[in-house]
Amino acid sequence: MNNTKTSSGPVAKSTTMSYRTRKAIMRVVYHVVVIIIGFWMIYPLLWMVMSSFKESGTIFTTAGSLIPSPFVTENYPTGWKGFAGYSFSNFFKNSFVISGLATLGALLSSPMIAFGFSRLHFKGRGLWFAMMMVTMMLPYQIVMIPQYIIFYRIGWVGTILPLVLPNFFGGAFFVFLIMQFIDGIPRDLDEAAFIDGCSWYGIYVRIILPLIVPALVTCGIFAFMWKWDDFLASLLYLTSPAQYTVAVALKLFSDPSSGSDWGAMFAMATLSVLPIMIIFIFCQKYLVEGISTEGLKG
Amino acid sequence: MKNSQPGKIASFLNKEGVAGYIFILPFLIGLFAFTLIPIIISFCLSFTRYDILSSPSFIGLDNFIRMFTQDATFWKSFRVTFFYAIVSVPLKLIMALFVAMLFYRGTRASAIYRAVYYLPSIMGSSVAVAVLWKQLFAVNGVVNSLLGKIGIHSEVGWLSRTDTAIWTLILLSVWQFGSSMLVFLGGLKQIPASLYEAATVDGCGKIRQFFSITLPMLTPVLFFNLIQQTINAFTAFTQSFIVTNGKPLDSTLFYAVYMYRRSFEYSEMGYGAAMAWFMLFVVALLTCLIFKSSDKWVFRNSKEG
Amino acid sequence: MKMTGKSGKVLTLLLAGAMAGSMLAGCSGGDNSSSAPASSAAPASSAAASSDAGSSAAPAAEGDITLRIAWWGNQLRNDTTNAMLAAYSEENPGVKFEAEFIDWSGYWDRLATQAASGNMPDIIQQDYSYIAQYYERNQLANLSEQVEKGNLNLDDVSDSILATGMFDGNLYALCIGMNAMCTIYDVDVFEQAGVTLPEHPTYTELIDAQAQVFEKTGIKGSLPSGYGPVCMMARDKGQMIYDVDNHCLGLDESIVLEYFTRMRDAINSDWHISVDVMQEASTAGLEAQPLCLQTCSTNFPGGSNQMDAMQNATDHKLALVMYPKSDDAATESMYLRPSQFFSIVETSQYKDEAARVIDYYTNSEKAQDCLQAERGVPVSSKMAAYIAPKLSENQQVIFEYISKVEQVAVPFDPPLPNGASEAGKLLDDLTDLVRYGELTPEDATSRFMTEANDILAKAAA
Repeated sequence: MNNTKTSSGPVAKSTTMSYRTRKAIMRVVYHVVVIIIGFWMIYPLLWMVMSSFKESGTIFTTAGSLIPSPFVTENYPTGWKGFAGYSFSNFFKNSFVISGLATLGALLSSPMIAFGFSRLHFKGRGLWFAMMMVTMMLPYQIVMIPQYIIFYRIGWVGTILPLVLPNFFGGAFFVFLIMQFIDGIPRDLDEAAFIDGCSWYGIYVRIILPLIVPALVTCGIFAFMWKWDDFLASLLYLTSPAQYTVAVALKLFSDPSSGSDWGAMFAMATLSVLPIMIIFIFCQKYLVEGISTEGLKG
Repeated sequence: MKNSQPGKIASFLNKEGVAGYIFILPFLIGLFAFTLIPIIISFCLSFTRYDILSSPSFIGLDNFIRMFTQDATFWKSFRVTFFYAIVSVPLKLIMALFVAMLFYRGTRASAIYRAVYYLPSIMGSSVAVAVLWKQLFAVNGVVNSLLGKIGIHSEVGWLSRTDTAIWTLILLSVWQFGSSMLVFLGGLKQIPASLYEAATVDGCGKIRQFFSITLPMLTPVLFFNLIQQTINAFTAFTQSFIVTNGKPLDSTLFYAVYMYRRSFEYSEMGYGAAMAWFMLFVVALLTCLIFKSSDKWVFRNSKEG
Repeated sequence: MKMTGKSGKVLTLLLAGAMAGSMLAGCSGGDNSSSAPASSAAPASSAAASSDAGSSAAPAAEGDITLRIAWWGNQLRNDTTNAMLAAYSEENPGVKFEAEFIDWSGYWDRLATQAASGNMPDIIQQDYSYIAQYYERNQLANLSEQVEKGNLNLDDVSDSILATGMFDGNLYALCIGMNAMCTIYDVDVFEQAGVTLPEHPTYTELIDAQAQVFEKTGIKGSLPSGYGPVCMMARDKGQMIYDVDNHCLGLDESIVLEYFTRMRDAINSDWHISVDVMQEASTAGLEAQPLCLQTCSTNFPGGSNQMDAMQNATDHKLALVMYPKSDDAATESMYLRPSQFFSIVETSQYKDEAARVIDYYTNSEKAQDCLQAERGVPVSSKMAAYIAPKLSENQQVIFEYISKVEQVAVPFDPPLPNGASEAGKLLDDLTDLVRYGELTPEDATSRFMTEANDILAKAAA
């Protein structure tokens, strides 16, 4: 939707400049403005990427300039080497396993729960829904110790289970988000299916699921990204460096008391945003006008 | 066949009351297994003095009394957080919606722009962001050198002044509008194209279409974003923790950071729990208000049968 | 539509219930809970921990054990410490290690959480600001017993160093690298200005020198602020900032006033960096300190071992002199203090073996080769002499500085009392207020004296 372009339409006809030229100029202006703002949007990211090609000791003395001089690549092998024999290939593998499983869990359970809350009437629905909302309002720092004690008792500390398994029982944010999408689907659709003898389970699988693909994609991106960036819980439950995720490992570069290898940290931080970037670029086509407008012509 | 055993079971399972519980069963299991007990424990801890290393001792309402009557920093952090939430949430949502609308097209250029504008959000709140933000707003930082180029000489350390530091954190929050934008994009995708077709036939302009079709149809996801961002803003932690650590003079001391400081740095976990429950109460109250108001402005397609 | 509306109502009700109803229920429940969550948590789970550890160790051959060891630090420390542990395993084939290293703030979050469930590693790195807390809650094992048993040899360690980890006459934490307060200055800038600093400058000498440097070169200077200078100024007068036994401040008001007055005068002078820059420096890492950015001629880091990282971040030559002393100092205030400690955890199943590891760390030449004095000068005088010639130029500078301090050093204050971190925060805040001109030194002093005493008394209760 491009408001600037179309609103200028009627005015253009009355001026000497032809509508077509004016439109072309507007288009150029639009792109220039968008690119300039876009540059400032990603300036910090550029700064990080460029810093990863600077000599580690010069990053702060040359912070004002983007262009590395001299241009060095040694931060990448230095950083990738990791710590005490655990390289970043190890940390990336851990991150992928944990984020991947957590995403899978969220995508399996959340739409189901959302459908239950959104479409079905049952006793206690309001109560459970309110409980769910409460779980997302309590800061993690406060439940972290009691939760740790529980997982410790079960014997799960030092495994990825505390990080992954809860996602298989629905994340409140995901459920709540999907509910908004399900609420947007006309009820006549499932009523019609119900009359045709379709069960609730059939309605969920055949009607609702296909219609909430954009919501699922959004949830998938979030689930992956949040787990990828998660630090505190990963820190608590993954005690051995062999199990560390990228987010935890990145912290190991900086020590306030004994000096930090910023070059290596920025190099690895740059690599760590790549997977999410790729996922976003790959998934975004499901979120915008696509080839098939599988919308609900209802 | 209808009277056979499996048939009976099937029709039992298909009762609305039963099916409902089956659908939310995963949530219930998770709640009872992992979440409920910690929540109850943290609630109980709020009535105790607990230094983590030794057992808690019950002190009744002392934590709450101390919080409300003796702790000026508590109120300070509450005000800071409230201000941050009130300012940053609307700005962020407007930004997210604006960018979502601007780049909601299938063209290649739009796809690239969308990715570029989304990029800041994937950086999360890593150490890199913290370092960057300090660099941008430092006395010798990028912002001041830009101001210098347009003739404004500034020696302000934007993160060092009590009246500007919070704004840099608000800017950081608005800059990372990507997650709200994603939700808006998902919502836009769900709007039936037929609505626009009809509107175009009726001769509606794009601006009219936005206000009479797009915005109403987006209200459910707007509602979601509003609630999510409100909760996020009130429980915000990392930005303040890693960029300013509350400085200068507690002017950027977020509630959650103060709570963390009490719980872990000063080893007063009970007091921290009390703070958490007060925040929960406030956020829940706000959420309730948004929920209540939603009947008036959220457009829902589903008619109750 | 109905869903949202209805659930909204229930949510309201539930919260009203939670806040009012369960407040009542919570009180009676609270009584149990005061002991329930933790008493069921801590001891029971520590029992679980020991039975876990026991069951996994018992059937195995004697000596075939796995020790958990935790520290915070950077890439270099992780590599050197792991090399040391590998060397130990090689010499003692039955002993394996699980190293749990992480960054500073993550380290303390994790350690507290592990302590709450009785799941701490066997050997933990400790810091001066946390050690009293862990000792008082009976989390640390008595190392003096291990010395008696012969597992830990401390013959080459001086008593004043051992004293830093002693409580009630017993050793609970062993210093694993020596450190000292210091002034770091930019030699290039000082030489350019033709100014020199004495080995142990007074505040007046330090201020005059920096003012001259500013006049000649335009590069500004700084003074230390917060806990460090106040602690040292008290020591100059033979006092202590905290009276640990009586849970209150242990220094005269006049010292605090002198400190705040100096802070105000400095920030109002040309030669001192601006309050904006000071604020930035206070949250910046070592590499982004004004000294390293070459916009300031001095710096006062937490310890002399940080000189190495700072030197690596700038191409100017840096040098060390002692921490500034009061003009009317009555006694020596310089001291040697641990950069870190090692402690053995009370719940550990393998205290003897853990002690032998610490012994290896302290007394073995092979260990020093692995460690490269990254944590600071080794505490054993023999080992310090052994490793010194093998080190980098930066580290030799630090070693020389430490040996200079060693000749004058007097014992340090006892470990910080509960509430010290909050009192320290108060001192920082008041210093900021004075710098911003929002508080006079007199008001700041009287506020510090009353509020800090309050905090300390409350924390002790």
